[in-house]
Amino acid sequence: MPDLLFIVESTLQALTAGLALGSIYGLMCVGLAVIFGIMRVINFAQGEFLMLGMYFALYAVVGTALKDWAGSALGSYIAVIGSAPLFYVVGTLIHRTLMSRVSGIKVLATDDEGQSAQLILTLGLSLVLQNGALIVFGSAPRGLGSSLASAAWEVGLPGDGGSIFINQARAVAGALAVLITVALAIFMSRTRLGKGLRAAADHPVAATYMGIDVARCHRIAFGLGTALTAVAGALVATYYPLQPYVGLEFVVIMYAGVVLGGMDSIKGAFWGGLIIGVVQQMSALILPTQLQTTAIFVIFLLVVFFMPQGLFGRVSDRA
Amino acid sequence: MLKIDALSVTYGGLLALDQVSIRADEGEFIAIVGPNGAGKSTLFKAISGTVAAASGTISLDGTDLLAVAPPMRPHRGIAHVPEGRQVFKSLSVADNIAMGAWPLAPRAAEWTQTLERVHALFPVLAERRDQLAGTLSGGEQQMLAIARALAGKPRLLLLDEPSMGLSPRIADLIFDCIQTVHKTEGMTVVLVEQRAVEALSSCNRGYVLESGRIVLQGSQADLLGDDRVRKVYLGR
Ligand SMILES: Nc1ncnc2c1ncn2[C@@H]1O[C@H](COP(=O)(O)OP(=O)(O)OP(=O)(O)O)[C@@H](O)[C@H]1O
Ligand SMILES: [Mg+2]
Repeated sequence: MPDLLFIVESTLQALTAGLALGSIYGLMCVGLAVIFGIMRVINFAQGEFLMLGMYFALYAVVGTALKDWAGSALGSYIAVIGSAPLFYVVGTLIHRTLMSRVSGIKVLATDDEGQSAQLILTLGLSLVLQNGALIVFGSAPRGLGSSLASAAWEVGLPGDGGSIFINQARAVAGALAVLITVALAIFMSRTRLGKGLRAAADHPVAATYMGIDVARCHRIAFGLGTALTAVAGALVATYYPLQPYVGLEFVVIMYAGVVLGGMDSIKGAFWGGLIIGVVQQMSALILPTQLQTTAIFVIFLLVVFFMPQGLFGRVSDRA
Repeated sequence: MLKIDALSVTYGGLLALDQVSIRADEGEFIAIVGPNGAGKSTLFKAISGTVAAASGTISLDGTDLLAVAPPMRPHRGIAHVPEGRQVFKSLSVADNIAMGAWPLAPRAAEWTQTLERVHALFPVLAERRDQLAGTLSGGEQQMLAIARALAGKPRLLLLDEPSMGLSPRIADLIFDCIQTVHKTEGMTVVLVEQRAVEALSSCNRGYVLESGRIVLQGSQADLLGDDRVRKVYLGR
């Protein structure tokens, strides 16, 4: 039965590829969920933060001596690590100068919770960053040229089940994405600051009565969300070509993943992204590539229809 | 300790507090009674800074509290138990208490002590320490709201209608706990209540607030002896 063997082999192949890719999508979704979960702001510039993370990695590796010194593979992971603090600071600055004007305790009490102003601001930011990137970086697609992008690990299946290939750049990126998400989840659930962020999200006024500076929490959340997304971008750049509009390719995945997982749960957002990665890769087994995004949306609509809370929506509130 | 002078607060032109002056000395138990909409919660919100004062002054130990940013005020030793409990529903009971201790940033040993202290007052919170606060009963949530405030070891405790929506038995238990804390820890307490009997019988001094104005003030004996208070608030 060579056919069955082939099916098993290609299913496992698609599953591993989906898990690696889905983990990276998961990290992007987590970036979005941190901002929404704590600030109640939907950030429409999320795709552009991802794009900027990619360009940062590109210029850090190609534009500096990093490549000669550490090689293209190690160099790109050093760039990934470097993008975190840099984009955290960028995020806090954007919050301080722009976001704080249309979000925070004072707008949460208003009729639309400031959502129209936030939509206009983040959408505007996204357009400015896209077109700014076009001017500064040019429209030609570029690549990091990491040596891992075209290398694969071969894993033999038991018996004469053949073997599957795992792209090294995607596997490493996926593993790092999982690691970062776990670290963030531990930070949010165990540390004093993490709990403070959750308290500020849960009841901003009561948090103020505890002496928690909600505006500072929002700044930290925006910085964290920006950094997580940019790090995801830097990871994507290790295997995917970049151009100024690359964010658009991922932004749909981010929103679908976050809605799947429940808008304000970090773990849920990660699972949402992971599911999308797996569905996308598995659907390639039976559907032409052009229909992969359609497959994502079919799953998405099914979940929205049957479980509007998302797969992991919280039901903790009694009142 | 707390001194409020000619404080006025407006909500979009509507006067909610009109030249209110209130004082609480170190270790005192102050009761503020008044009907719905009198401005009692507004007074506490002005102290905590979640509503702005239109005019007047609020000082704590001689320093101008209005000049202190709202989230920094608890760091000066004020704890506010808001009307309607406002616990963090998605956090565990223990984490809610930990948030109350935010200004102290306690180390492990100190934190254990704090937990023991509030668990001794409200043993039910020890049983439910890992439960999400949103799943507690109303009475338990009120106990948690008070425990959370006490965890910060405040010098001034503001309590806004802690008996609201509770059965008489649970309300009595809560009043007893407040008394205990006031007596054993010497904490200054300002209690806003509609249950005037309980509030006035535990206080040293009290104020009657009606339509944003202080209409009467005095010692416990003065207020309990006042004809109008007896008629309107004590119902006898
Ligand atoms: N955010 C607000 N906007 C407009 N008016 C308000 C606001 N909050 C309170 N008010 C008004 O201010 C007045 C005082 O309200 P406050 O909540 O302080 O009363 P209270 O004495 O605490 O009443 P209760 O015993 O019912 O809690 C009321 O007339 C109320 O309608
Ligand atoms: Mg009130």
